Amino acid sequence: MERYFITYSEWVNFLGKKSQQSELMAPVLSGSFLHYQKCQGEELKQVVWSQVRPVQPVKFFFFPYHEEILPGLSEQSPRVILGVTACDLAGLQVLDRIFAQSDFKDPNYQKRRERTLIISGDCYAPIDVCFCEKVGLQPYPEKGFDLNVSALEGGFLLEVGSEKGRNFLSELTGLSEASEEQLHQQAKMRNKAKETVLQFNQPFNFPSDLPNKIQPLLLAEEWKEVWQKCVQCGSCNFICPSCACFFLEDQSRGESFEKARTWDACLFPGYARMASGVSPRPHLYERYRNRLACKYVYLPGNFGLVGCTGCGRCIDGCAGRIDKRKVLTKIFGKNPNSVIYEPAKHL
Amino acid sequence: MNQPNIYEPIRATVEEVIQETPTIKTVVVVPEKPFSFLAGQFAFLTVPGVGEAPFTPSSPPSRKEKTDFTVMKTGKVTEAIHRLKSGDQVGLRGPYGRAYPLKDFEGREVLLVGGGVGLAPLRSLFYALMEQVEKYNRILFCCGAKTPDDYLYKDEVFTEWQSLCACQRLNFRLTVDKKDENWQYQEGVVTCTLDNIDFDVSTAVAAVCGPPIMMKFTTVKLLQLGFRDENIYLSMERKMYCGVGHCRHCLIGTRFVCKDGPVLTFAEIKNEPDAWA
Repeated sequence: MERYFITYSEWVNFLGKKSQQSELMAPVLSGSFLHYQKCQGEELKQVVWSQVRPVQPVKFFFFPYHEEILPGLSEQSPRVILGVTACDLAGLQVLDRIFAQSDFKDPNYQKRRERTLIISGDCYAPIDVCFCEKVGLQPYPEKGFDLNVSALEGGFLLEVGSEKGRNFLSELTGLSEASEEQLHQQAKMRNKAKETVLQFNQPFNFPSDLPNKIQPLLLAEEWKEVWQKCVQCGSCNFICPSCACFFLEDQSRGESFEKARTWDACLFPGYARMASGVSPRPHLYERYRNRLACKYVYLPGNFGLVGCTGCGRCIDGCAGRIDKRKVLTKIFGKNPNSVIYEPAKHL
Repeated sequence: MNQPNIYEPIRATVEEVIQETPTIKTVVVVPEKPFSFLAGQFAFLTVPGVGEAPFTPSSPPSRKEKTDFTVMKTGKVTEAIHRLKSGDQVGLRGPYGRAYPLKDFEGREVLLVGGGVGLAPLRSLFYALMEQVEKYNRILFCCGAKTPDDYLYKDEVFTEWQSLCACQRLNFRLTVDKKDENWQYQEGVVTCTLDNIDFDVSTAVAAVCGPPIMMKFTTVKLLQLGFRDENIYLSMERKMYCGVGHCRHCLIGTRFVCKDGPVLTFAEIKNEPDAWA
């Protein structure tokens, strides 16, 4: 992998120039949280580097809350997203599988994806809800980026992840290769972040190969207890980097066919309810279980990727203060072998 | 870059609307562009300005020039479909999903079990089977409805199809939940017609379509009779928006009713916690 070192001022100046050709979105402190904001020129000095993931996942840029899908988007101008964390890259990979790499391609998603350059960033400061380590990820990007940026003393370590990323840097002449010392510094910061995540998650006990382990537990009685503080607000769905359920509405005028799509949440009672009024998941505990089953069993089954990226937003955003890690600990507290699945039960 | 939008329907014109029962109509539509499907696949019927809903066509798949959709009035879109008149413009999007594996049915006994509006997709399958009837060992079509008046396709079921029985390996068993004075067939729910079936259940296949409760009890009955899990084909009903495996509303476990279904075998769904609605 190509790795370069660039000083802080060189990098910020370079991005300032780039912001005249492309729309630059970057994490900026707003109140006490990080949010993506459009940055230009001098504003780039406010960008926060190598910290925890911003409040909203990058999904917002590719799959907005509400949009017209028929007719689809026209051509899009180029955009650069800075500071995308590993957990969000993993979420984006799930969306790619759903919308861009399946048999049917989503027109809007593809256009937005093609116009976007992803500059990811390390996360040196995980917070207490983070659990990337527990779902097989690291607090630093390993794949899926065009460029990755790790903050070092006085500058940044740039890693090239794609041709698109290499081209982006082409106007930067005289980039110096990262030194052993700089690589060592990066490794040190990364290890520290990893340790922090592990420390935060010491109280929780569930296996890291969740997909295989949780499936036999889907009929465990514990599911009937763990959901009880859920107020079915759907915030965990909406804030999740890999939740991508939507409903479609016709909005044609006259004789044309026009369609809009809006996010949907599987916790809502109407989500799976059919015209007859019958729902396969009439109880909230079934819908709560379904959300977790989707992340750990159904998405891996459909696309080979675990849906949960350990970003912890669903814990942060939960109105009922449900900690998914506690739920999983409780579900796995039971000996998996004691749950015997009998299909006849629900016939 | 200019790929066709996956949500763009084909424009179609309503040719005829047939009132089947007090709550069910068959809409015959003529698409502007060629539209063909295989038995078991489904399509979205759009009423401009109202919305679209998924239906399995009820016409023979070999009839390409026009397609029938038999629709029960249950919600916003189906009410709008019931208001359609000949000459009205609609949209067709599809076909989607997996067809019945008719090749696998060859040489076997085939049981069709339909309840109420569930007869609609089975009519399409029935015509597809009849086109190559010599390939199947035997065909038994069991139909049920609440009352004789609730039967779909009355001319076909009671007259045309009955006349086919004489010369071919075909039989019908008809029942209603509640009979009237003119009813000359069985009385009772559709599972009653499955008693005394002399099929070789180790190889026979069954295609079931009807309301969720009927499918559930028919499955129980078929399992009791000894049908194999993988030989019970169920037309699954789920909320559905996109039809292409994106919106995730129709998932039963890891199976998309839109892409892997709408017909799934019992073997494919039996281990899922919320397989039955």
